[in-house]
Amino acid sequence: MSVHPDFARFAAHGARLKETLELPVVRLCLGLTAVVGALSAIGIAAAPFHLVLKNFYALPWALTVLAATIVLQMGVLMRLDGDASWPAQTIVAVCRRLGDVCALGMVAIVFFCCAHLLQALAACVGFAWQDDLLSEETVRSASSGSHSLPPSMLIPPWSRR
Amino acid sequence: MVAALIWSYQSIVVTLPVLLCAFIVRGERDEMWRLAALLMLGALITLVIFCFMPAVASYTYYGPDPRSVSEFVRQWPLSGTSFLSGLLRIHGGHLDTLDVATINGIVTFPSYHGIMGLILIYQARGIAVLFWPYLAINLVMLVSTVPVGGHYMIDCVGSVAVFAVSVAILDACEGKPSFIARMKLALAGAGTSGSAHDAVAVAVRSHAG
Repeated sequence: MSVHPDFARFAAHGARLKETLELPVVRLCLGLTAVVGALSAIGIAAAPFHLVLKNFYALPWALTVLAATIVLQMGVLMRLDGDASWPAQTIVAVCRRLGDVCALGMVAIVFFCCAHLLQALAACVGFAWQDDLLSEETVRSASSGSHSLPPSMLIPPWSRR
Repeated sequence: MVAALIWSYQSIVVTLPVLLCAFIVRGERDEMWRLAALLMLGALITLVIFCFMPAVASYTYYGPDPRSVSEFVRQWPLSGTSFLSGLLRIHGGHLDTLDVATINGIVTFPSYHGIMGLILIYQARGIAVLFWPYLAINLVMLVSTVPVGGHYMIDCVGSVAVFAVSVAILDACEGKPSFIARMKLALAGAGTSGSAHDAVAVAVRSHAG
């Protein structure tokens, strides 16, 4: 099957993106984002309350804009193929950097949105776990000295106020 | 003094993009991704720890004399309590909406602000123009996490530990010798030949080879 030469030239400019994806540090970032994303999805599904996600519509919009920018800069690079003039070379350098930033931005936006979500879910899990640990009996035994931890470690700040 | 502490605490919204721009301008794509990776590793480790240690922070627990913190509160009303409304809503079981536009950091231990500051210093080490200002600003920021961020002092110690673990994980992922190993090699090299920088470069090259 023959590929249109323009498409082949366009795809060739995706090589930098491919090269970026092969860097160990980039793979680490993608892996961490996948972990955080999966944990968020599990957390939302398993949360014992109905959670409304507000303003999350901005996330797909931001990702779409960044992805479109990557495609556009690849298109510009294709158009400037072989042009050795300094303006063309400057635009090529700017486009390459723009592509790098957009790729980073896409990963970072997904990661930190999920991390924000996880933060709230982690607090729910943590408070539930602490409340369970800090049952009245535990606190009483701690206060009477029969527990290995000092009472100040066991009594949550909000109950001391 | 109070203004400097408040400014340094909020400086992350400037220093982080500036460092990112510096990497972009210098064409240092790998360093840009390393910065992101360290921030992500720090965040993930922080979240895991936070699961086991959620807490309201020092202003709420100690309830300091309002006169002693009045200047902080006057200059920035959210001093020490910026995270509190969200955290108390979660603790009270009233969490029903998560708004990306308004959500704040709610982690007390370790201080993620502190982790970010240390990461910025570490990542700026290759850019002389930025390194010294970043060192100064972020060290002040570490101090400000207590009066401005409302953290306990131990939260800063936690930040250092999380930062060190994040760097170690990143180095391991990239197959680099650990930071401590690099320092040992640098010190050994400095004793025998020229500068410590040369010794580190030789050590890294020989490891990569």
